[in-house]
Amino acid sequence: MNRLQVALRQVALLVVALVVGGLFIVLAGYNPFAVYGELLAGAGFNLVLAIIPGNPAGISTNIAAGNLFATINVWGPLILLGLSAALPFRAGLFNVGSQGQYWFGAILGVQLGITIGSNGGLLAAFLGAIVGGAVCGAIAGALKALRGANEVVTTIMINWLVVYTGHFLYGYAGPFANPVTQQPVSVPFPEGMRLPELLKSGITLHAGILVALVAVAVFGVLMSRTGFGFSVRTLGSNRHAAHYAGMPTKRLTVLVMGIGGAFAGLAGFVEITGTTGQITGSNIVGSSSFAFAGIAVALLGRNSAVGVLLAALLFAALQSGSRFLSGSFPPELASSLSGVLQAVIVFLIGANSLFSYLGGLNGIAARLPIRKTQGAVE
Amino acid sequence: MFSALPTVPLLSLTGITKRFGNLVANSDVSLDVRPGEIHALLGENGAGKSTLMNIAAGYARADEGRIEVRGVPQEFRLPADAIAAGIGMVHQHFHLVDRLTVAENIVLNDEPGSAVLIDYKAANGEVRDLSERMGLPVDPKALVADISVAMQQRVEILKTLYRKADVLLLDEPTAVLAPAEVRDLLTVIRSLADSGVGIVLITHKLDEATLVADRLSVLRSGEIVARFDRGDASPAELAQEMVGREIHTVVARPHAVGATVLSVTDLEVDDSRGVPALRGVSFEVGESEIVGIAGVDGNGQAELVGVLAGLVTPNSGRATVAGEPLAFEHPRSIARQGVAHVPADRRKYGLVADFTLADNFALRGYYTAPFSKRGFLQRGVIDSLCAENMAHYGVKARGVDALAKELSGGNQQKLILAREMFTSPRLLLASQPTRGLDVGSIETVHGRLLKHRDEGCGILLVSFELDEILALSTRVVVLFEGRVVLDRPRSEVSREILGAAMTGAVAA
Amino acid sequence: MRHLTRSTVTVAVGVLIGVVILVFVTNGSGLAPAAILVSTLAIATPLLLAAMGGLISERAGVVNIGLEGMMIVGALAGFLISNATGSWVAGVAGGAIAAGLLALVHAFVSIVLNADQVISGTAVNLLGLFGTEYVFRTFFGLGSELPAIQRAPTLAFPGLGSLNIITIVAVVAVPVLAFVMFRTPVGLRLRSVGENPLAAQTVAIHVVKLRFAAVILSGVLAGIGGAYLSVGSLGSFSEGMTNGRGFIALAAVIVGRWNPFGALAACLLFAVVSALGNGFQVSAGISADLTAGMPYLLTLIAIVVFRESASAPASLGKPLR
Repeated sequence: MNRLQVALRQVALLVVALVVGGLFIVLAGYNPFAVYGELLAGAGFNLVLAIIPGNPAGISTNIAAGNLFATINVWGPLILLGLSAALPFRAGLFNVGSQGQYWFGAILGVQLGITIGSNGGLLAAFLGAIVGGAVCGAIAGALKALRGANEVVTTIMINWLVVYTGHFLYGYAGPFANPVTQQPVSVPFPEGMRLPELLKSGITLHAGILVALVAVAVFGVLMSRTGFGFSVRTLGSNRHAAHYAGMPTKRLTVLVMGIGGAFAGLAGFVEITGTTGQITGSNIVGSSSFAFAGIAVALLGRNSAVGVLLAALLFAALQSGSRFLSGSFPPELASSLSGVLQAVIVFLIGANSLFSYLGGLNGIAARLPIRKTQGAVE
Repeated sequence: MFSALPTVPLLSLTGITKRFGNLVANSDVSLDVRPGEIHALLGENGAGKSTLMNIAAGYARADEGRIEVRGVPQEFRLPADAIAAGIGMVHQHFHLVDRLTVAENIVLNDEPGSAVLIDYKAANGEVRDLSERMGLPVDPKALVADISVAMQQRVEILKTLYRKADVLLLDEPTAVLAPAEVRDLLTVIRSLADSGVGIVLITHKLDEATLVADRLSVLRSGEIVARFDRGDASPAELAQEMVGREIHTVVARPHAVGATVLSVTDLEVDDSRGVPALRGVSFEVGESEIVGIAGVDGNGQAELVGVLAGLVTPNSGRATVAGEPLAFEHPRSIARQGVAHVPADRRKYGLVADFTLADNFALRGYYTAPFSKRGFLQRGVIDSLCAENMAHYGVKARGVDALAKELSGGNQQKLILAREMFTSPRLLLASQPTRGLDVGSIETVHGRLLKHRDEGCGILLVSFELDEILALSTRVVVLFEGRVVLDRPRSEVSREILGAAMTGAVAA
Repeated sequence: MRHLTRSTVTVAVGVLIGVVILVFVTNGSGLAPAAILVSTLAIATPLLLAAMGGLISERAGVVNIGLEGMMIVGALAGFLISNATGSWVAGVAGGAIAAGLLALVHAFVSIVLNADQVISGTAVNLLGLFGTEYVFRTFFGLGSELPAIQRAPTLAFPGLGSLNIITIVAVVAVPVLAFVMFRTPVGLRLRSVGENPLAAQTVAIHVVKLRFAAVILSGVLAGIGGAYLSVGSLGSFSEGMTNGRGFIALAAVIVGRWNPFGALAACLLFAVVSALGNGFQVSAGISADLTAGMPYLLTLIAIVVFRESASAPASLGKPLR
């Protein structure tokens, strides 16, 4: 299959997912076309329409641009979460630990940044987030490499541990909670140390997207041009061959999970120092979608750099658009809907033979678990 | 051509044609087997024997043709249909559940007892009775994982007999056995036939076929090219029919052996289940020497090669390459010491099926010059080196961008050989280098091995094919139950001596 | 019957550890052993049901990391149907059926379409998490008062306390499953399908059918486990209320070496630690967050200590082709 066919198939898959999502909207008693339209507008994608001479749709460019900035601000962390799943996927590892890596990185980074203060605080937060996320991921990698522990189970358990620890740290009277306000949130990350602003139109576009774009570029070069990427791909395609060829498979497993964790930690860094400005205990608890969002982005993007960019943009639009709905669809439903769409997309990707299956139902016999007849091959 | 027997055939296949895409695996093939008869189906790898038998046993469906059992037309959609019609197949690779007992494997899906409770006592008893009656004694309570390959084969045969099969399709049943075990099996097959069972024996070993078969059919490129009755054809004639041309048997010319390349001393290794696989193995390989390791599968060959290639951890013992201690457990360091490795399972270890040929060519050396510089892959260099070496070794493919899985087995093996010899190693570990290849590829691979030997490379050749060992080796070492039971120059061994040694009948 | 002797040892060790912890910790801390035992069984109930489900599926060779999603679907369906019908039985049955249907999708995708079973299971979890959220919010919005539903009844055991009827079902399910798995024809066939589907096929076992049945049954059991949370113990529903229990159950299957008694021992161990944590939270004033984290930490430790061994079904997770 060439690249165009692959891309077309991913688009077809997306359309199917949107149709299934449409059914959910209909079942809740709303009009799917209106809802999808509003989601796109809420994400600021209607800005394109404003370029049409005379602006016949009557788009407010200010609002649309602001909405688009909000979408891009979500896009950055989603790209990074996507990478946190995509790199391990390339090595045949399933990183469901993005949630824990995100928060462990965010907590380490934010606390470090606040402690160091205006002189290098942002850089400290950046490095702290990378280290925090990497440690969190590398632990799961090491348990896999040394003890054969199933990384799906270990990363999920680490997620819960980080979540409860974080909730404790930023809980009422928690050690890291704001001592002044007595609220279950961190001290605000100082204004002067936040990620720089790029543009502003009601909503500020911050430099988080640049961090994400650099990360994607690094990922792309790493995978396609370096010996490290070559060994990761070998490990993912045939770990026996990787062992045979003398690749350091155990070290690679730790490294790959560590780098994946670092990407997730960076996502936390970007979100806190760019958008929210502080860590909230309740946000930590309500973040179980993070781990899966990264997996959905990576799978839809086929674990490639460009694919992750595009897939993350789609989910960013759904997520951000749902916050600016103009009233025809309850926003709390919209946020669940984007999760449902992720679920459907992951199902369809898992079942990537679905299309050929539908095209050949009479071939069921050929699908039965019979050993391929030998003799013809070779 | 046939002697007309009055009996209706137990199984008859008429005009069977089977295509895979453009490839015709069977073309208008007809074959039958009568009660009490052994019908040998001969042909080289890829001739279409297994395809035909899979069709007869319900594992595949023919595009054209008829299957009749005792004169009644059949339509086999699943193996279950064939079993119900009394046809039992024993595959080359056994289909047994390792972690169940012998009896459990045999009675599976037809268990004695009620629908809610298996009567284990009855199961064990029935299996013991059946096995003794058929001359195939087994221990019903043993775990399949714990018994020998020959025993496992008995279990497979008993499985079909327990289901009242009266036609037995045996796919290369002797390939996994030692010569003595082969004789036992052929005796059992004969007595089964005498009790009225019809047997189709698939094989590419001519001596066995001529020894035991009542009739022989030769399959070449999917077509039946010759049929003989017992005694009508000599092995030479059969060989000619099988291959369709004169066969060039390589004969290793005498040559001088140089200094010691590999020296192995008192090597002890456990297998993956913790059972001793090598119990103090010592031998040497010299420059320009091919040392053939003969033995029945499972006597420590896999572990020996595994240790020398750095994939398996030894318990104790030493190995040196050109006088330098071998870097156990470090495949990459071992490769740097000048040891190359053609693995037995090329699809599992030797290649990454979804990678391009260029990437597969770089699989070993990707991290270092000339394949890579400062951590960055040199794509152009990799592509041109790959193309150059593919041409040199006669790998046929549409280009270096082709995927490894698109290649035939022979071309895959040539690519692996090209990659492994790229660094001009001083020692080559060649494990089953020609298994499953067609005759042409076998000739190429053999020719290459001899050429590398002449250029000074020491070669450790592991093979289950005695002919291959005898044709190529300078020295022959026989492994039996993890010990070296024979280590002699090629000129001092014969097929008979090796055969005896492989069953442990001769002391070193 | 080496599997029985080994599992007996596992159970004995598990129970012994549990008792030692119980005696050691309750001694002088003011926690009543009987109360801790009842609380342990209550906490273990959903874990046990899901673990038995996971065990059946995995023994048949299909990885089921979707237990969590199936549980939450069972919890919501149980709540909604119990609310609509006024009957806890209907609620639990509804939870079982809804989760069974979700499992059917997993079965179809993994068995017929030969999908990567971990990816399919991830999709199950996503759909469970967000699908229940979506449906729940469609009915009740955010933060509205929930109706009271009929809860599954409890039975009193003199000298011990009262146990939920679903708890009793869960405990009984373990020996029943062990019997079916190791003594009956269907159990033997199920195991053969998970170990070597080709071998099963050669003796005319319908691999696809058996795997479908196993995966659906695993969903049904996980669904009952989820319904226990809503209909059995709480009489209410909240988003994400399964809190990773499906994954702990999966870990219990692995740690228990794919043996029902082993999984029982693992579930009891996780549960007793939770129960003690809850007890201490009250008696000693330890942060709820830290005690809530204990079972996850314990699971992590257990999965590292009892390394995933050769006892995994040989064809686990391998698509048929």
